[in-house]
Amino acid sequence: MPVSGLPTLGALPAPAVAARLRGAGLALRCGPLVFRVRSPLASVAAHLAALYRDHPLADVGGFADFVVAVAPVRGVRRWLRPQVRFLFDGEPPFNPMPRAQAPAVLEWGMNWCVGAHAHAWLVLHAAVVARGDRALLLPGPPGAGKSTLCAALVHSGWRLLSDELALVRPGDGLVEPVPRPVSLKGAGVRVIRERFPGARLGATLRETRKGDLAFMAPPPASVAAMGRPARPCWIVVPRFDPGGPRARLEPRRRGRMLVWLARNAFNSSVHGEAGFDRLADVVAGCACHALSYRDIDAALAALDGLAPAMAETHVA
Amino acid sequence: MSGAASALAATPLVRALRSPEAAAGFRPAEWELAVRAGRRAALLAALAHRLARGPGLGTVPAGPRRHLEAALRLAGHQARALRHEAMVVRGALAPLGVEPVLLKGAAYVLGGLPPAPGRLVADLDLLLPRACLPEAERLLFRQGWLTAEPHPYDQRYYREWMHEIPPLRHARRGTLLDLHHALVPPTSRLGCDPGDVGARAVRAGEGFRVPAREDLLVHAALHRLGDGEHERALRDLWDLDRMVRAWLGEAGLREALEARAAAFRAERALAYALGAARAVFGTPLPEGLLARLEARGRCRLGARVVVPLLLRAADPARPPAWRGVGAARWLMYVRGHWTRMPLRLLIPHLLRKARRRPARAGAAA
Repeated sequence: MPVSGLPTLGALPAPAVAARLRGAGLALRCGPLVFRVRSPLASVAAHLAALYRDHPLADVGGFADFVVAVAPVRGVRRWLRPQVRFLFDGEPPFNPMPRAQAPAVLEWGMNWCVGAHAHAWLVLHAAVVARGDRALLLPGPPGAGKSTLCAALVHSGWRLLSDELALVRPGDGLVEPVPRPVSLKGAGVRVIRERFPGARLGATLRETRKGDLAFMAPPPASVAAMGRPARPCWIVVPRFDPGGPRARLEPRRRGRMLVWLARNAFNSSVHGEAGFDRLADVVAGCACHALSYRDIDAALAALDGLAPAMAETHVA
Repeated sequence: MSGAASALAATPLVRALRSPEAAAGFRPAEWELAVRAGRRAALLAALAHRLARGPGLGTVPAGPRRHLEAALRLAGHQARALRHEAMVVRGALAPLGVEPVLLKGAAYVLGGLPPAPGRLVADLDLLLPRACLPEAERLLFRQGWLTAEPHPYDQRYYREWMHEIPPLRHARRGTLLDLHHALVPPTSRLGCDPGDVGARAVRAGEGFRVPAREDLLVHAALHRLGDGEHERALRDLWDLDRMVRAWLGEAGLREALEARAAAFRAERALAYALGAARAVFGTPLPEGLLARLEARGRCRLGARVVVPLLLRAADPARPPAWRGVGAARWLMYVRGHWTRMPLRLLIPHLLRKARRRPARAGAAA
């Protein structure tokens, strides 16, 4: 599904993808951001071809927001323990990691670019999905089951805006989509494979710093809608609790939610007072809940229950 | 001038800084180079200010404009944080009876000096009389400032050979504080501290004490030539350009600068730094100043070697491993150390640093 007539990555034959990655770079458009990626690694080429298949390619001579690369580390060690490093503008922001994890290194590096530099937005640590133009924010620390829930939601009638980073526009509080692969960890990989056989998952990467993980392609319709921002309407803090109820949704106080969100934002201090006010407006416009779940279907049903109820209150 | 100067002056970042109107004709690829170089050299917010005051940020295409606005936000945040730290530190040091003098970025931003618009400042640099330092450290410790270099060798290195004590880091806020007792290390070949910078300091901007104008200029030059860190060299030259341009019209700038350069025995450093700023940014200099500084500093070969090297090392448009930028940075790093201490101190120091590096890298991996 092409976005505004631009060619997609999927339209490019595999050798051309690899050639661009080795050469001038592959310019991927993800919502408002363009990443120009270079890498000589076949695993990175395969990851991009499979999981960014529907993403539009930006102009070769166009403006790229972030110029990144995943490159093998040279030296004697490469024969014993091959490693790769992520490069932002030619410099490594963090330590090398095992070569088998190259696709994850790219995704984490891209997240780092947004968290460290995208101060044009208030960047919150949250997954975001939407029904039409109304967004559900799922903030939470790693390991709380937000990616699993996010993956399930986008195969159940919600559209993916982001799996990890919510870009809130400081001007009007709308969230801009940056649809990229969803990173599923541990048991989440199996849950999504079994429950949604149509989901396209990449290879499972073993023993990363976040455990075993696999990336899931964003649904084509979500990628096609990457130009459509959404208004935050619900904030739900998820928690996977294997010993708890199938799914329990409880209201949360807005004040506490605001403080917690601000503290977990990547750059709320950079935005200062205006950023805090904007965040307060966002929270004030949302119904806030906590969701603990052990059963993904029960969790989906509980969240579906939110949507019609909120539709009425917002019209009124 | 050299090829390095013309190459640097032709980069989109420098062209746009020199005349913001030139940016109107930029192609997307040129904007990309300007943003990347600006981010690397910590000059993106300065560029945003220049554009905002000139043709307006509205004339910039949406992609790069977002990065320019982001840089302005970041600079605003750093200035707020810096102001807060400076107030806390001033309060903590009140019992000393000597108010510290702000140096470098802190002086520019909180003193409202010409380089202030869009100036990024990560740490707070302060000058105090050497005799006050032990008491200042005790007072700051009570407020949560702990040493950021706990290794005994680093402690000894700073305390014996440097013009500052080891950096302090606030335990809760993570902010860095450098306490200086002089503007150059006592062993430096670049110059010596005449010991009267504090006495000549003035109040500026928000009421903080900052060095006198000539001292700010000499210090900026000494810092550029003596510091091993060249990623931000272009930013240091921009600071010099802003100050010289703003103060050029004032009577006696040339005489005052010559007198202070002599007091610091820093004619050579000042000549190199001003020469480099002129080569890149076209900085207008007082009539005859450079020639007199070069003569007094006996910069015969130096001007033809050090300035081009400095300019090559300063090029932020290229990754460090590109066309000699890495080599130039390494040479300038060695040169920085060379000028900082005599060989009998330098060689053991670099050997110790080299021996410790693999251990540290191993621990980090």
